[in-house]
Amino acid sequence: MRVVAKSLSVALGGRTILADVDLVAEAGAVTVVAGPNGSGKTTMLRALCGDIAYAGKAFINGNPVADLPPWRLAELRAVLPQDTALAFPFTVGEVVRIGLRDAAVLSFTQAADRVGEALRKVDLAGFSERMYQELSGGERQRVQLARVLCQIWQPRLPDGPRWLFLDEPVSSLDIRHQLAIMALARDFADRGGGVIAVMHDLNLSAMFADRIVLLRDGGMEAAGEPAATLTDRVLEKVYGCPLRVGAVPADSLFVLPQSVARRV
Amino acid sequence: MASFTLPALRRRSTAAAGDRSARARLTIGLLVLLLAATAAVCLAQGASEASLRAVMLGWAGIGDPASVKASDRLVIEAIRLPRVVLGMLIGAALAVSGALMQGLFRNPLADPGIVGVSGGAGLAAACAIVLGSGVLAPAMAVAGLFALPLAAFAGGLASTMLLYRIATRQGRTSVATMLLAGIAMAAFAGAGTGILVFMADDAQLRDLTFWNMGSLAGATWPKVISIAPPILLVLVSMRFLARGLNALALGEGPARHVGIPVERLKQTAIVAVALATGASVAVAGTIGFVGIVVPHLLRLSIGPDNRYLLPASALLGASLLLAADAVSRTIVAPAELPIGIVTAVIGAPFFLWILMRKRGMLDL
Repeated sequence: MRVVAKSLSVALGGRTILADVDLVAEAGAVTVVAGPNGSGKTTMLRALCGDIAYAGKAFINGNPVADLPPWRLAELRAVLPQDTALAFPFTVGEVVRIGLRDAAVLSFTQAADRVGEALRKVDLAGFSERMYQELSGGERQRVQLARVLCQIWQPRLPDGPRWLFLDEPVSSLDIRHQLAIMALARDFADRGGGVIAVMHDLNLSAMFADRIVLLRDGGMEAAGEPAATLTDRVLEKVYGCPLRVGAVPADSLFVLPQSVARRV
Repeated sequence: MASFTLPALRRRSTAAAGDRSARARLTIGLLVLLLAATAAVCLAQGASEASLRAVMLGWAGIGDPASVKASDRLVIEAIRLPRVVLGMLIGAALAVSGALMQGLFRNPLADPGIVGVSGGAGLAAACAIVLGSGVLAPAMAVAGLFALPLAAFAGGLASTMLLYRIATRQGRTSVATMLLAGIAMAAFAGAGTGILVFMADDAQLRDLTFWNMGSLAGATWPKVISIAPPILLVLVSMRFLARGLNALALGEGPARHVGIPVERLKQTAIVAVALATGASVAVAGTIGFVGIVVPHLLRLSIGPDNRYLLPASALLGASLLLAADAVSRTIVAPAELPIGIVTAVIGAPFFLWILMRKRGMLDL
């Protein structure tokens, strides 16, 4: 069971954003999609989500994405958006509850417990009563992740894996929460689900991904294990910037997520 | 002292924290009582001294039927009761259409009265009144009792759809565009209605003026019957729209991601807004601000969850309109102040107050 894209192309407003991309993401693995700004990462994710029209083929667990009704897609995958502004004064608890698709079969206490546990997972225990609109950007992002986790609480069901689509999940987080959220994604994959994450941070990607897909100008430049994709040659070509992988700078200070002393 | 809490109790309270549904249910219960009380007062009070008690005992079959005065029965059954029922229906329709529109536009300032939907419905209704005896006579004959509500619904639907098209691009609604487009649409509808006034003969002119001021006066059972079906339909639809509108508060993308068929949700909401607005405009003219005041007040107390906000809005809207009608009947008695004036006097300053509190989100 996997997410597959075959010669996936997307044109928006007459401009080709994504051209002929092939992608395979396995369940049980974290697949990171990286690349420079405007390389088509988010567009690819949106096509796989069923948000936009595409040419070519896209499948989730063997089902063509374009043919699935919204409710069925919602059973198979959950999507963490980049930024979500709310129009009305919902509490954190109420926002997370929106993700609870099976609210009807859960009792009142079970539903409340689920919400509480999801918030605990994203390190927001005790935030349920707070107003969403009053939170910081990073806190909002984590509330949204809790909502998304509620939607696909079981990473794997008898009929196949669930998919977590993350669009820059750590973009507004501090380093501690970056690590925590990536560990959460890792855990989701370890328990049998599939994760596809659009990322900018190559260090975190190297640390948590099983597979990295690099896009440039709407096309795929490289795909494979982190060690095979994050090389000097590939990175220079993709980002147009002479990066040296694993080179320790001689005279400047640096802090890497990899250097964390213990699990947070 | 504060640190001493029973473990079980604490667990329960943290589990339910941030969930205002218990409070919302209680509020809805209280609103039912409020509506019953308001309705009773409105039935009992009026220009004549008819005894509600005697008539009600008569309905219940208690006591001697002969002791109920025929004039009392007539006053209660043919004058006050239809007026109360009409007021409840219209108040509920106005408040719910406001709440639905706010959910659809993802904005607490959207209201059919403010953004020209009532104006569009009014223009179409005026067309029906003035042209109904001429060019449109065959159509009017076919539609009969429902001609005016149907016309108003068509006008409301056209203006809601147009407004949505103009104000929403790629799933994002611009507040500034929505309000400005609303001004233009209201002005156009006003001008169109003005032209019809010029064309109208004396009898039509009286109809138009009477109707346009916004009033529950002249409530009759046929009027109630003509607007009850669309309004009840909207009230039933709330149940199916609530969850979708909650998700839509996150944006169209996230709503789709949690499994909401967004396009169908928006179409249904637009039709529901047009039905409710059209029905109320058809019999009572333009009554403004109920749709903005009621949902806003309720959001402050029970939160924005549409599963509770929509029914609570219907109840509070019904009570509020009955109260406004009571004011309009008594404040300049024996004459009547148009109810639209009463709601505007309360609602317009309230709208300005919301604007001042939320100035940041207008991004003008």
